[in-house]
Amino acid sequence: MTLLPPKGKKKLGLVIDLDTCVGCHACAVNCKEWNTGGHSAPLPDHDPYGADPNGVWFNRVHTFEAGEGTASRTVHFPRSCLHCEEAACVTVCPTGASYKREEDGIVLVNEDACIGCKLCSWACPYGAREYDTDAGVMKKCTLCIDRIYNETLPEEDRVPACVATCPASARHFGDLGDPNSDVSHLVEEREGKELMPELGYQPVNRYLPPRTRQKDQGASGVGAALTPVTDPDAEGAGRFLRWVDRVLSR
Amino acid sequence: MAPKIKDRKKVPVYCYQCVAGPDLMRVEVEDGIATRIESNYNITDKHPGGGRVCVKAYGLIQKTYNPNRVQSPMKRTNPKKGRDEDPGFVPISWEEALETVAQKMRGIRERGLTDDSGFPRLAVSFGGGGTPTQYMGTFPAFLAAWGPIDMGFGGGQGVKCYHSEHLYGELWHRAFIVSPDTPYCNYVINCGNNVEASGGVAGVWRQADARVRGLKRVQVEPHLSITGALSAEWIPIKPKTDAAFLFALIHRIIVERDWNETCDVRYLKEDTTSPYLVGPNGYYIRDPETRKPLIGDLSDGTTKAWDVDIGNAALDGSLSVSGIEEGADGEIWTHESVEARTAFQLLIDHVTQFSPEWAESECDVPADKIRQIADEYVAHACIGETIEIEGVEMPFRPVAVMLGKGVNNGWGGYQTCWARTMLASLVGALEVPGGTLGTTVKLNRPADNRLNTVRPTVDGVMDYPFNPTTEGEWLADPHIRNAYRTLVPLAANSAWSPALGPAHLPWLFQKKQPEHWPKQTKPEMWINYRTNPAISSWNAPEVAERIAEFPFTVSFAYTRDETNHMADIILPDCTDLESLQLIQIGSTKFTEQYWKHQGWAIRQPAVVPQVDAMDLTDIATALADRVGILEAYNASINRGAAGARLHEKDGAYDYGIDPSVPHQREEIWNAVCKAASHSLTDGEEVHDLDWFRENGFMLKPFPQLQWYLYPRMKETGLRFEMPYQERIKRHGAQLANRLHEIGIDWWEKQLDEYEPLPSYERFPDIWTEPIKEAGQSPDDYPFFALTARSMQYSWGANVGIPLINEVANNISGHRGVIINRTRAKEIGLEEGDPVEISSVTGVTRGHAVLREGIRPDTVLMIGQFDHWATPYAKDLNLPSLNSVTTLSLSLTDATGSSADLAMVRIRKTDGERRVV
Amino acid sequence: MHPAYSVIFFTTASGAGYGLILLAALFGVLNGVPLDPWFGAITLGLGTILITGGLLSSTAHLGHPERAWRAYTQWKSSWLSREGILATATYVPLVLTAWGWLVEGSLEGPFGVFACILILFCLLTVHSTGMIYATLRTIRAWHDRMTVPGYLCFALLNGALWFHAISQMFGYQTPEIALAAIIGLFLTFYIKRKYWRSIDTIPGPATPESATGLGDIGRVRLLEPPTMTENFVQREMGYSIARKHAQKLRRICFFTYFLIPIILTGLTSSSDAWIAVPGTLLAALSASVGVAIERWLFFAEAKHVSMLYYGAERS
Repeated sequence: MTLLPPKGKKKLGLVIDLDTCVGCHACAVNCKEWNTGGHSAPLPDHDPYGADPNGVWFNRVHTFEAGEGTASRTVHFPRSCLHCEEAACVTVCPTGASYKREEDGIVLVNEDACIGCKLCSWACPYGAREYDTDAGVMKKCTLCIDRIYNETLPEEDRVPACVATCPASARHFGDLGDPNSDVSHLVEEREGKELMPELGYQPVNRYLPPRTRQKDQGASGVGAALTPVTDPDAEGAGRFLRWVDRVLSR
Repeated sequence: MAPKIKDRKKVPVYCYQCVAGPDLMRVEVEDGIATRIESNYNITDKHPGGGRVCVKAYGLIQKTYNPNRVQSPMKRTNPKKGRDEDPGFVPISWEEALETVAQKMRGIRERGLTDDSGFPRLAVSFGGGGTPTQYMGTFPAFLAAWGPIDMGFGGGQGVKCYHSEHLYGELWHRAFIVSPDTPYCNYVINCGNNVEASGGVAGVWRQADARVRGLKRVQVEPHLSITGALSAEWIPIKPKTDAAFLFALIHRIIVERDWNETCDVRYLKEDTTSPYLVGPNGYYIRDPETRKPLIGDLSDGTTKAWDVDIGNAALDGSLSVSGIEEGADGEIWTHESVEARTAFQLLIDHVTQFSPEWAESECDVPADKIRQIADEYVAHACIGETIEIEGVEMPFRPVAVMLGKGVNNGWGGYQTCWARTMLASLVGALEVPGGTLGTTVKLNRPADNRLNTVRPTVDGVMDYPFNPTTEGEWLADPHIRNAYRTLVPLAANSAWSPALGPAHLPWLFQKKQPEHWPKQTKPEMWINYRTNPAISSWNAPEVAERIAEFPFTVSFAYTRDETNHMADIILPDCTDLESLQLIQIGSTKFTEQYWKHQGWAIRQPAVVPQVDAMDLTDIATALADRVGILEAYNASINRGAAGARLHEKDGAYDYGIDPSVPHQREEIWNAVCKAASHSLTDGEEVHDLDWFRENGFMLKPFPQLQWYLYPRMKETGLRFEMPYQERIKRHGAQLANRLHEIGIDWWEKQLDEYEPLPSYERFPDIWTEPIKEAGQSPDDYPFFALTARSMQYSWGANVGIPLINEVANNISGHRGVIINRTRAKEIGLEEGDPVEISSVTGVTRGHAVLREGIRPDTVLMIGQFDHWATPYAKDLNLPSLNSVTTLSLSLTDATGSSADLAMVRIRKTDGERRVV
Repeated sequence: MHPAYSVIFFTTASGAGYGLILLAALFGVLNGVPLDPWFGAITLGLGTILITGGLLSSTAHLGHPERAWRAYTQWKSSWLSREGILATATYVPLVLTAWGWLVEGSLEGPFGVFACILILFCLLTVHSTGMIYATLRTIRAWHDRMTVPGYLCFALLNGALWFHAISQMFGYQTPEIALAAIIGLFLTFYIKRKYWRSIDTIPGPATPESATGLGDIGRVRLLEPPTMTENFVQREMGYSIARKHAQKLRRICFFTYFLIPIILTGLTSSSDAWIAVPGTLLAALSASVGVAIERWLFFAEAKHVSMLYYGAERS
């Protein structure tokens, strides 16, 4: 049934730390390797050696640039299904193939009931659903439902494939419905962001923003305490900005 | 309906595609087909990278099943060689291939291993970073059994590595690679070091932990690298001027501020050569009897040898002193009451000229920014604090200065390496917890334990295996073509030295015979393995031309490529998931690889060879047999050429193989497994090949105390050789004497670098030399072209794998030429415009990628691939710095390296705009 | 959004079909036209062909058309499901109305009720179609107050022009039909103008900054996309049309669905048959082309919010 279930207490999801992500794509690749043999297998791969390789990935890593000049930041940005609480991809589904689990909030597609109308992909603001042209059905991140409850795996492996592989510990998996979970604490401490809150889909996944760069007071903030040669307020800051201006307007 | 899977297993192996390995992993194999890679979670708590594998490892499935693999041995049918010649390769049997090579080898042995110039007739080249040795099975035993081999034809060494750091790092603190003590460090000044891209999983893992813990990293580099993106601050410095920045930091700490307050005075006095007295000729004042350098003792007003109990060493100023100076070639000056300054005073006098204001004009970093960073560095150094490591109390100095490729190689490399080591020494942060550490030794011996390489000299500093420069001892006739023993005293003479000498010189000398130098002959046979100099060298197109001139080339090959395009015989060896080898893991190595364990790990066939390939161990055995050196080959394996000594000299164990007969790879590695496990556990646990196949690896604890050289230095009573470089000065003078004696004047500029305190030069101007030599104006080449490491590509030889290409293409800047957004607009470039980048010696093409995070005078090309033969890769149309760098003596520094840098111009070309 | 021809054809054809049936039933019930069986057969028949053809074509873009029946199950939440149910259900009053008109020759009594139900179902079906689009908050150009009225008006306009032309063929010069067509034309013109002004001036609420949560640092722009060739999301959602082309197409659209039909209708509807028939037929054909262009633009001009992750600067 594509009516959303009553809001459960458990909200499994990911917390992604944009401050430590190095953009290596191991998460995206491990996701693909696991899931092409997992719950939604296979994930198509067309023309791999050709000019227009194409296929379904559940997890993609973007790179954004924020800000201007030397103050600009480069931020690697992994993006996958955010398992929204108000999942429009579920409610628009005419067949009931797309559904949200009451017990843990995971949004899944029942491939046997999917007619491949793609309306759910239109309804997803995050571009998280990808259509499998071979199978004629929609596919998406399952939060590795075939890992996290898989009793044939050692307990420490029962996390999504992307989390299991991240070398920067930038991906955290847990219950965001539990205010005392590690992931909830992380979100609280680091003021984790909801993506596009103005659209009202209430995504479960959260993004921890990059830590602020230390500006003129120095990387540690201790510089000013140590006998500054010139008054930083009067001259230092101005000089630095002038220099930034000079370097960038060259 | 898919067929039901009958057999599913997970095979433990390792990935060592890059120098930041090994990543231990398991290959999931379903009915004989490798389907998936996963981390070997059994090592999670012991591996410094949390046991994770890097993204490159996931590409191994496609690497195994790549349809473009060389399917069988091949021979060339077109005798003409060149880029535009079709080699006309035809498949042959292994029998024919091995016999052809063996016959050629037997011929060489009959005529003599060296030619009329004294150069080996056989040359062998490997890829960089030592990674090929993790895959080449027992091939090293074959090389050892052969005799003299020229391993000095480089594939990009010198410009692609941390070259000066390797040499000076080993000299000063046994640091072939330098690394911060990341788990304890709090403040890192990072001049272009791109650890988040090149440090592998351990680098990323430890840096991420440290960042969460609160480590602040100030990234000083012309473009915002992956590492810069994750740093607390980015300082866009002008390329190749890092020495000015670092010199000014020293100036700030010891000239502008009171060094008594900013420095670790005790460390300087007791643990460095700072108090040594330097005579008027620039050499230490020594005790005439013991020849030990003298130190002034303020407590009683006398001078004493460095190792005598000194109450209070004089650190600055000058003293009137008597003693001898020992110059070059045994020249002795005897002094009575001569005025001698301390080494530290010479340092102060030397750096007085390098004020922050001066540096600002050189390197584009504001003077106050330099002051601020210097002050922060000092404030974070925690001078006076201690920490207990495994029951031993040690100084705690959580600051470090890191250098990147391009900063620490080529001209300016000596200056930056010296300055960084000096900065560590000033605050007592060299080789102590939290500070600047070395990881591994490749030039000193024994190679398996850097602490055991600490041996005393009369100077009170660590011994170093300089190549001799004194008359009679100096090797006037180079034994291989890159002449590292002749030209580069610092390159030492270990197994790694040929690759660490001027490995580009042979290519240069093959083109133009230098004066007063043995005739540059071509090797009669050149073997290459996991290297592609025709793509990866500086001025790669020119190197490709030289390769085409070689008479007989044997290439081990995975796919066709630009180097084996010139091969006479192509041999496909079993690749990563198909071959068998046991390697040593753990302890400390490369960057960020600080283990608390050490042991052994296996790579084993997860699948059968997918082409008609042979395991390199079996190839080595077959060749040794056919060439007639089987006994020596087996003996070499018994001596440890396969990683572990098969029999211990003292008779503790003997797993040796019978030298007289050839052995299958399983037999050999079974013996290695037993010997390795025996020696690791002193015989308590002996495991055979089957055990390793099942378990993947074995480890025993490695003391963290051994991460640090400092305790060993204290034990031996030795001092770090900072700041004054008397030995370098002497070797320089002696080398100059030797070269001038035989009339060589083409190494003059390099000889000038042998200074006891490095002076500053406008290093960026050196890169305009080739422009002037070509009679053109430097103004026409206004951009610095740089490159940067990539986690996805470095060393992986995987540019021909679609998965890696897909991933790499999605990572900032891999898909083109990065240029500053504002500057691009000024010169009429838009995102995705096709551009041509040209230097005076070469040209490359790509598409413009606009971003804020790069200086307006700099362009960056991450991919270094102008492939024209490698399947798949040749169609990617990526730009490559290697096509525009200039192979030139004027760009070669005294250690025989150069920075991966070129002055270029950019022009928009016709073609399609490639928009993201 | 990628303009899928099957969907454009479907909404255009079925819209015209429902409009035509609705008007035929309306005029039939109100005795505005003679209940000539041939006239009824052609109007209702053409309408049935249009909606059936449209519905069938809409299954062409499905991955599993054979499972299309499953779309009847989720009427509680899904407008697509509701549309499917209503579209199917409409055939019941349609058949009964046709029986009344063609066989009984009367739309009074129960047949009048059936015709009224038919009118209602036609409206509801088109309304559902509009709602599928209008409820997608991810697509600013669709999530607009004018989307549903637009769908309804275009259905009525197309239906009215075709009904007018068929009436002329049968020699029924009913000024009310011409009036209905002209009202439809002006209404559509007003709504479409309002729609275009709305989507041109009021952007969607999401920005690259809110999409990434990086707004605190500064302006956010894409540096590297996550894939080296276009992926499904980019192909499906990333279709964009240059503004100057859109303006041109809007003008063509205006000419074909509004200007030409209104001139032809105004000039020819009361003329002799040899002028009126081709005149009104041309008006209907022109409007049909215009609506198809409008529908194509409706997709092509619509920007999906997920494109913020692929370099779009506004949603």
